[in-house]
Parts: sequence; C-alpha cells; structure tokens
Amino acid sequence: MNNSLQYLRHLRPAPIALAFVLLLFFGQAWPARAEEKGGGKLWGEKWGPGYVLPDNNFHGASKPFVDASGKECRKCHDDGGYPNGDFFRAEFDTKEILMWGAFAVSAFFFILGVLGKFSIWEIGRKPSFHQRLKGRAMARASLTDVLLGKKILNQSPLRWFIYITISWGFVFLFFAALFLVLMRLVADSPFFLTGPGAHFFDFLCDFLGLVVLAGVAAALVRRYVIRPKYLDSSFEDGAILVSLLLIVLSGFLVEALRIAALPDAPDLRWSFAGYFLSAPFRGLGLSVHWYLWLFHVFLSFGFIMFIPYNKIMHFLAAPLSILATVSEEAHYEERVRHRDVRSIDPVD
Amino acid sequence: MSKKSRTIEVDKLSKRLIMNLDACTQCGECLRWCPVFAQDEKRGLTPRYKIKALRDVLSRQFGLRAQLAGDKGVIHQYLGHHAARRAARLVGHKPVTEEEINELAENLYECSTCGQCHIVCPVDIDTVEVWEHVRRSFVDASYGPLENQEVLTTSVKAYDNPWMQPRASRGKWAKRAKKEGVIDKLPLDYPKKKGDVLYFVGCTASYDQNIRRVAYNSAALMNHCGVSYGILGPSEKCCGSVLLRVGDYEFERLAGENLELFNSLGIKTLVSSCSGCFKTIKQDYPRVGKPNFEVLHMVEFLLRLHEEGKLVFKREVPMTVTYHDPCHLGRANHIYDAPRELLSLVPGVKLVEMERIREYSRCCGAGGGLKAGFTEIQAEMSTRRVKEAEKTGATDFVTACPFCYQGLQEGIMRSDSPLAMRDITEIFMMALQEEETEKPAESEGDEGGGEADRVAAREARKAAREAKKAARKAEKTAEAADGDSDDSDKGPDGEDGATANGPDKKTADTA
Repeated sequence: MNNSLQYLRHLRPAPIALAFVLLLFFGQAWPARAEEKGGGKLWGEKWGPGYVLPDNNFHGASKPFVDASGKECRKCHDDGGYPNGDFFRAEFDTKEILMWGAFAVSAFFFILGVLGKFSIWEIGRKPSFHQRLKGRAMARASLTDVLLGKKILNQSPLRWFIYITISWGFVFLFFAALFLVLMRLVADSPFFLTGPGAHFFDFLCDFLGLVVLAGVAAALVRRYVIRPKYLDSSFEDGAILVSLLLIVLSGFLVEALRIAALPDAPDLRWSFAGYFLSAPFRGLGLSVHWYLWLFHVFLSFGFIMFIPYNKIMHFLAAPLSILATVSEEAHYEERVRHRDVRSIDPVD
Repeated sequence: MSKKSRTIEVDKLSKRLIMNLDACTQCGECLRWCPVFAQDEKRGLTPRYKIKALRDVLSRQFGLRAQLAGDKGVIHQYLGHHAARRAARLVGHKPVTEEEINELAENLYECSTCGQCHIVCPVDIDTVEVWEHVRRSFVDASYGPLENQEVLTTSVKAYDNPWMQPRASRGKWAKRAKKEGVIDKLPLDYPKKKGDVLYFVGCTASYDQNIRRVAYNSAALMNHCGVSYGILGPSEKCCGSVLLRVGDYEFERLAGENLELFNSLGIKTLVSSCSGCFKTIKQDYPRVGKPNFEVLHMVEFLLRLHEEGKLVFKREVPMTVTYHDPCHLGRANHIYDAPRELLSLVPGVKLVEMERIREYSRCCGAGGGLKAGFTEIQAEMSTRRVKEAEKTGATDFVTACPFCYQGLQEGIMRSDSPLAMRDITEIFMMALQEEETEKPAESEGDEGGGEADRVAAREARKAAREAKKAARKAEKTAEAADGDSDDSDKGPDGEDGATANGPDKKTADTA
C-alpha cells in the first residue's frame, strides 16, 4: 500500500458512518415521496417519512378519542406551552425533525466509534483462533453464559439480577420498539395501532421499563450503598447508571404527562405505569411533556452515541469474547476428555 | 512536560485478544480473586485496571483521534507537525507518556500469570494470553522485562536453563540417583537410543539439589512400572516457559529447536513432572509447530499406568495430606482429578482439601516471572497458601510441580510451618517401598512420618535460615566494601545448606 495512504486506512469508519447516516436521515425525510401523496398544509405532512419508513396515519392512535368526542384534535391540543403555541407543528414537524436529527447524529458517532473499535481490533495479528471453531460449545455458551449469565449467577445473585434486568430489559425494549415501528409505520396495522396488539405492547413496554428501573436501582444501591470492597466507582460508572435512571424515569414521565392531557379512557390503562403516574398531572397541559420529551430523546440518543467510547462497549464485545474463549477452550477440554480413551500404549 | 512514549505495537496480540479488552465490564471480580493483589493492594496491578490502561493506550495510539491528529496521523502526514498539534488540541488527543507506559509495564509484570482472573471473569477474557502477548509488545518496545527477570532470560539464551548452570551437568541427576540407590536402571540415552517415552525433566528438577528428588522419584516410578523411557540429558534445553511468560520472543526459536528434536526422536509420549514445562510443551508448542507425540503430565501418565495394572500401591503410608493445584496443571490444563485419584489409591493417605482448590486454587506466586521480579510479594503469597494448608490439619503439603514445590517451601520456611513439603511422586514412592529395592527419595530435611523428625527438620531449617541471614549480612558488608556481589558461580550442588531453593537464589524463577 502507498505509504501515505496507509494512514487513511484507519479512517475508513468515518465515510462509512457518514454514508449510513445520510442515507438514514435523508431517506427518512425525503420530500418527494410525501409530495407524491399530495402533501398537506403542515410542514411535517409535506416532509413525511421517505424511503426508510413510509407515510403513516398520524391520527390513527387518537382516533378513538376523536370519534368519541366528535371534536377535532386541535381543540384539545392547542397548547400554549408548545413552540409558537402550535401543538400540531410541534408534534408532527418539530418532534419529527428533532428525533431524526438526534438519531442521525447519535448513529453517526455510534457507528464511527464501533467501526473505530473494529479498526483497532483489525490491527491484531492472525490467527485469532488456534483451534477450529466449536459450534456446539459456542451455542451452549450462548445460552448459559451470554443469555442466562450463569457464571455471574454463581458469583453473585444480586449482580445477576442487575445484569438480567438491565440487559434483557433493554434488549426486549429495543425489539418491541422496532416491531412497533414496523407494524405501525410500515405495515400500518390497525391491530397494532389501536387494537389489542397496541394494548399488549403498551403493557409490555411499561413492564420492561419497570424491569430496567429495578435493575438500575439495584445497581445504584449496590454501588453506592452496599459498596462491595472490590467494586471501584469511577465517574464513568456513576454517569452511566444515573443516565440510565434518568432515561427510564423521564420515559415514564413523558408517558404520564401525555396520558394526563388525554380524556380518561380504559384503553390508556394498559400503559399501567404511565397511567398510575399521570394522576397528579391532570390538568397540567402538554407543555411540560414537550420539554421532558426533548430531555428524554436527547439523553437517550446521547447515551447511545457514547456507547462505543465507554465501558458499555462490552455489550457488543463481551458476547463475542465469551464465545471466542469458549470455542478455544472447548476444543482443548475435549482433547482432555479424549485422552481418557488411552489410544496409545507408551509402555514396552 | 512528560516525555512521549515509544509506540506499543499491539500486532503481537491476536484480533481476539484485542477484542477481549473491550469486553471488560470493569466489574472488579478479578480484584476479589487476584492472589497478587491480596498481598500488594495496588489497584493498578489488577486485571481490571491493567485492561483499562491498555485500552486507553491502544485508543490513544491507534484510535480515530490518534489517526487523525496523532504523530503518525493523517494531518501530520499531509499538513505537517504544527497543524497536527493544533488538531490534537482541538479533538482532545493526548499522546501516551513515558511515565504511563512505565507504570503499566511494572503492573503488567507484577503478575504470576496464574489465570485466576480468567477463571472468574464473567466475560471469559483470556487474561493470561493477553498478559503474555502484551508483555511481548512491551519487550519489543524495550519496556520489559524487568531487570531481575532479564537475568533469567539471558541465562536461558546463554545456558539453555534459567539457573546459569552448565549444559553438561543437566543429566547428571540420573547417575547420582543410581549411585544413591534410588533407581536401579538408568534411563535410555536419547537421542542415541530410541524409545516410546521421553521424560522431559525440566531445568528445576535437573539442577536444583532439593528439587532433583522429583526427577529421582519420577524415574524410579517409571522403572518400577517397566516403562522404557529415556532422557535427553545434556541435549535437553529449557522448555522456554520463562521466555514466553515474560514476553521474550526468543521463545519461538527455542520452542522450534526443541520441537524439532522431540519430533526426530520418534517417541509416542512426552512426560513431564513439571507443570510449567508440561503447559508450555502441550499448549504453547503447537503454536510454533506440529508435535508428532502426545504430551502428558506425570500424574496423568501414572494414572494410566495404574489403570493398566502396572502401578499398584501396596504399602500403607499413614499421612494426612493436602494437595495444592499448580496453576499450569489445573487452571491451564484442567487436570484436577488425576492427582487426587492417585492420592486416594495410596493406602493410609488421607486427603484433606484446602478452602481454595481446583479452579480457585490460590497461586503460590512462583510463576510468570513474579518470583524474580517481586521476590517479597511471592514470598508473602506462598506464606498465605501455606497458612491455608495449615488450617486443614494436614501434616504434609503435596503438589505436582517442582516450581510450586520451591515456591511453597519458601512459604513453609518463612512462616516456620510444621508442614512438610512433598512432591506427589514422593508419596507414591513411599507406597511402593515395601516391594522395592529402590528407596524413595525424600525432600531434604524431611525424613517423613514422625513428629519428632519433623520438629528436628524444622529446627534444622531455622538454623540454616539464620546462617543464611548471617551470610547475607556478611555479603552486604562485602558488597559495601567492594561493590561486587556476583554469586553466579555456585555449582549445581552449591553448598547452600538444607534450605537451598535453587542453584542461584537471585535467578529463582521459571514458569
């Protein structure tokens, strides 16, 4: 390779990450497609989701309330606390742009960081494995060590609880959110927009949020109240836990404030945590919801953005590390077992 | 301003090992278990902190910011030094300093590579592999090994053993064993003669007059079972473990030469009574070349012989023993049951276990270059292990590695423990004595059995220790006088007294 070009080798992640993000952002907010659909008076309707996600029914979720009251949405949602006192512009334009913008920036740095890590891994020599990969042992370890955290359970049930609740809480939340986006925005499925599917997911997401909250609370108690002798707490450790706590709490509050602004209906009770928290906020209006939403979104995407730059990177590297080591050692252990066969007689 | 460090080239690490560093969750479990940390509560030496520091060094040397604004970065390459410095300030890139690397090097070498951290790591980081390969990168950049450890590596390169002993005297133990009546038949003289089994004696058992008993007993046991085995004698070289553990890449040369020699012998089995040699030949040699023989530790080999009906222990040995799992035999090779099974076969031997055994066995601290680099820490580690053994109520402390033997004996002497240190082969020889003309070779100072003997042995050790202290004092005085204290010319049987722990205490390490 040309001597000067070898320095560019490690910067490959940057254009890759940038290309991905540009595709994501402009693919999502591409105007042509919305215009094809006729567009609307509002900016958001004109700049509707593009290639990545097709247009969706913005009013679908609130349809039961509109039908029940016979009012137009605007009559209830003309909230002075919103930017320019315009609920619709804020909800359908500003939120859309801010969320996708935050997502794009976060995704850019996330991908950059992850690819940057990969470029460091890439410096390593070959071979990485001295033994043939052992699929069965890796599959077994995926279940016992990666998914169920058996080794951690053997060391400390409290740590296992923290591991299972936080990691699995977020994994399920991620897939639940992904599934909902696909069902509501792509498939436009009424079952998941307003039907029983929506109720199930309302319940599931609240439940998973509480699971994560329990894990984060336990981690905070362990780290700052129980304080095991061997556990050192750096600023990074504290910042990660506090961020997680704030993300979950603000998520619940955003939901509660939204519910508090809506007419009470049995459907809302499926979001049991948000519904329970909404009681004190009745009549507060949506302005606090708006600012809390901003906080929740920026904190969440900020958190994702920093993952490759702090110890949470282990969420990606740890399963790989476990599987790689298990594969290396499984081969060896099998040889140890194999030796009991005593195939060679060394004695005269 | 701090001086910039030389680059630590991590190309010695495999991709898997570099990825391992990012898998660390900083949970601190390793802190709990690290036997070195238990003696020297320096946070920096624990795996958690070393990994964090390594990650930091890698990121600051090869991360995106370094590639952009570092000394070898794109901006430096195309726009020059000043632009790169401005860019470094802008993106917050800080080069790694010499002090940081030196501190990391010291922490990296203050480790016995026992592998306890690997066992307890919830994400299975292959820590020992990481340490050994990172040490190699440090050696490449001239940050390692430590001064005391360099004595060992230099000796291995010059004399093919870490004890600065002449090659010619390597096989003398066999003749001596025959002369003393421990064995009745000399081993085959490889490579002149051919046979199926090679007994790889190792440097410690070949040269150390105290540990030599391990070789005597191993040879006698194989003779008893009718095994046709041979030794390489003066042609045997160090297995290279000591080079590998401290990161010296001369290991490849030595391992390659050894492997070529072993392969040319046409043997079926290589047996070693040293766990360090066993681990190196079994696990590390295949990375240099392909062996055409199987590698067994003496305990595995003896168990096989027992199962074939060739080794039966008939004589009762009334003894309460506790067994110490050598790190290289246990954690590295998962051989925990064979020695215990063999001990259970000896009539009269009662095995009582310590609190920490098998995967969780507490390291004696003798390996990984720790004994040479941090003698005091190793001594404290072995003392701690001895205390743990004492708690079991055992009278004899058994292990299956000459080097652990050496390390633990240090602990026994230091703590003035009533325990008698024994290699596992010694117990087996005792159990054969009745029908044997060969007599068991016992450890110096321990004639086995009676409490009175043990008390006498202890007192002898104490006296020897005091004599040694006095000698050291005198030596220091002499040093102060002429500034020269070379004692490396001691012979393999140098008059070290009953407490001899190696041909040369200064170089007392292998792995």
